[in-house]
Amino acid sequence: MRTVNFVLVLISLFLMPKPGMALQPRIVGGTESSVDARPYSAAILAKSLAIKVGTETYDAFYMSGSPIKSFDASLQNCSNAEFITSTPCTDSQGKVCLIERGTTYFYEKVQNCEAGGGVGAIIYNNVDGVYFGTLGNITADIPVVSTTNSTGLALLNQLSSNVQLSYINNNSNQSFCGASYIGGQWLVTAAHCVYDTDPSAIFVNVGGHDLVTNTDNVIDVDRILVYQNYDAIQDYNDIALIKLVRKPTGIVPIKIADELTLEDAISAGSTVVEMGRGYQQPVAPDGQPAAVPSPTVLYELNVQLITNDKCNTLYNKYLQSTSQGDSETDPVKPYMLCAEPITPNTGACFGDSGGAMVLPQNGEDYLIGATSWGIGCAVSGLEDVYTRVSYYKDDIEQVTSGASSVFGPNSTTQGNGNSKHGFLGAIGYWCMILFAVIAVMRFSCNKKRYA
Amino acid sequence: MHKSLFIYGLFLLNLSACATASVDPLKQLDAHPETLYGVTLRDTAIELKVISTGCTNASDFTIRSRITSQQCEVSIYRIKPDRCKRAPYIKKLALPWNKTRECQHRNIRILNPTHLESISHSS
Repeated sequence: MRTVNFVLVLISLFLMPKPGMALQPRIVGGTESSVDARPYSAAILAKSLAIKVGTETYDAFYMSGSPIKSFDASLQNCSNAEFITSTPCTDSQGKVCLIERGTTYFYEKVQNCEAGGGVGAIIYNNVDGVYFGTLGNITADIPVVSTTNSTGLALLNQLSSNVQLSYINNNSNQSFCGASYIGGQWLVTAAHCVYDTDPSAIFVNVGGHDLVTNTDNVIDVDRILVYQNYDAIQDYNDIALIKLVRKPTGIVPIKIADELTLEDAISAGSTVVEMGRGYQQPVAPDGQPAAVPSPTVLYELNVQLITNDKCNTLYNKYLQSTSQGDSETDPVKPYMLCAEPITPNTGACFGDSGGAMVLPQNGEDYLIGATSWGIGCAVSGLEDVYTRVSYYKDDIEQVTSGASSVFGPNSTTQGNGNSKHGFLGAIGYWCMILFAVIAVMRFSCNKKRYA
Repeated sequence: MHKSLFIYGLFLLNLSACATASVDPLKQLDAHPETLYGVTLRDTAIELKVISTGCTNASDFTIRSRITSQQCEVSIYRIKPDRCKRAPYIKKLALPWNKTRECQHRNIRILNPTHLESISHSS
C-alpha cells in the first residue's frame, strides 16, 4: 500500500505544472458578455498626471521624493536655480518655479525654489526626451515634477500664466482592475487594486460594456476605503470600497450573497460566473506578463465553486513541488474563495483583479467574490482565488449605511492576517500557545516537587 | 518523566523550526534576478522600478553582493512572487541596503537585466 501511495505521489508531482514549462495556447478570458447583461460590473482606470496651462496640457512625472500634491498658481522662470547652489529663486513667492535641468542637483534646484517662496517646481529636460528624476535623500515640501524639453520651452512662452498640476482623464480605455457596483455611490474591489492610491488619480466606468463607446457613467472617485486588516505584504483580507463622487445613473446594483447561501453553493459545487477585462493569454507560473493590450469589452467565464480544503490541497502540492512549501502552506484562508474552470485551461488573468464573481439564482446575480490572486494564468491544478465578499457583507453594509466601520483610508495592518481580525488575532493565538506550554511545565514541576 | 520529555521535545521542535526559518531564502526558493526598469543607488538604500501585478513589496526582494578585484557586483533577487492579478505596472521600491566595507570603496555594478529607462539625481 505504501508503495502504491509513493507511486501516486510521484505521478502527481510529475503532472504538476513546473515553473517555466511551456503552456499550450489557451483562451483565458472566456466569452464576451452580452451587452447590458452585467450592468453592475465596473472598470477602474488610471488618469495621467498633467501640467495644464489654459487649454493646453502637457505630460509630467512626479520626481521621487516629491509629495503627491497638486498646484494651481502662476508660472515664474527660475533660471538661476539651474546653475547656482543656495540662491533663492527671485519673484517666485506663491508661484510655480520653472527650471531647466542643468548643473546643480535636483534637490538644490528645489531648495532654491522653496527658499524663494515657490509652491511647486517644474524641472524640464535640457535634452530631448523624458527623464525621471529623484531628490535623493531630500524630501521636498512642494510638489516637484519633471517634463520634457519641448514642454519646458512651451511653458517659457507662457510665463505669468496660471499653471495647474493635476490628474486628467486622457480618454484611456485600458482598465487595470475591475469592481462591482453595490448601490449608492459604492463599489467593491480588491484592496491591492487601490491600496496607496490617490483617489484623484483614478476613475471608474460603471456598467459600460465597451469602455470606448459606453461612457455614460464615467465617474471620478471621492474616497478609497481599504479594509483595516488588509495585509499588503501577504495580501490577506484583500478587499476595499470605492466611493464615487456621484451615484451612477440607470444602473441596478448587485446584491451581496450571505454566507449561508454561499456555503450551500460551495457544497453543491455550483456554477458561478467570473468577469473582467484582463489578459487573454495564459501565463506560466513564473512567467512575465506579456505586454499586450487588454480587451475594452467585458468578458466572462463559467467556473465551478470548490471547497477551500480542496483548493489548499492543490496549492500545497504545488508549493511543495517548487520548494516554496517550507514558507507557506494552506494559502487559501477562510475569507477567500476558490473555483475551478469548467472549460479546461481558462481562468482569470492580469487585469481581472477586483472583478465580480457572481452566483446566478432565480434569474438574479448575487455577488460572492472579487478576483484576487492565483499562480500564473489558466494553469491546470492551480485554481483562481477570490476575496470572499460574502464574508465581509456586514462590514460593507455598515459603511454603505453610514455607520462606523472597519474600512478606512490606508488604515491597514501589516500583520499576518490569519483571521479576519488579522494581526491581533494571531498574537492572541501564539500567546495562548505560550501560556499553555508554561502552564503544563509548571504543573509538571509542581508534581515533581510534591511527589 | 514522560510528560517532561514531551515538553522538552516540543521545545526542541520549536527551536528546529526557528533554525529552518533562518535558512538563506535563495536556497529555499526559486529566486531569480529581477528585471529592473530603473535603479538608483543611495547612501542606505537601492531604489528600484520593477513590474508589479498588485502585490509586490520591498520585502519580496533580497540583495546579494560579490566583490571582484575592481568592482562590487550587486544582484537583486525576487524571493516572493507577485500572485495578484492587477494589470502589470511599474512600481517604485526602496530596498534598505548597508554597503559592506568592501563595496564602499569600489565601483558598484548591478548585474540584473535592465530596461533602458534610468533614474538620475545628478542634475
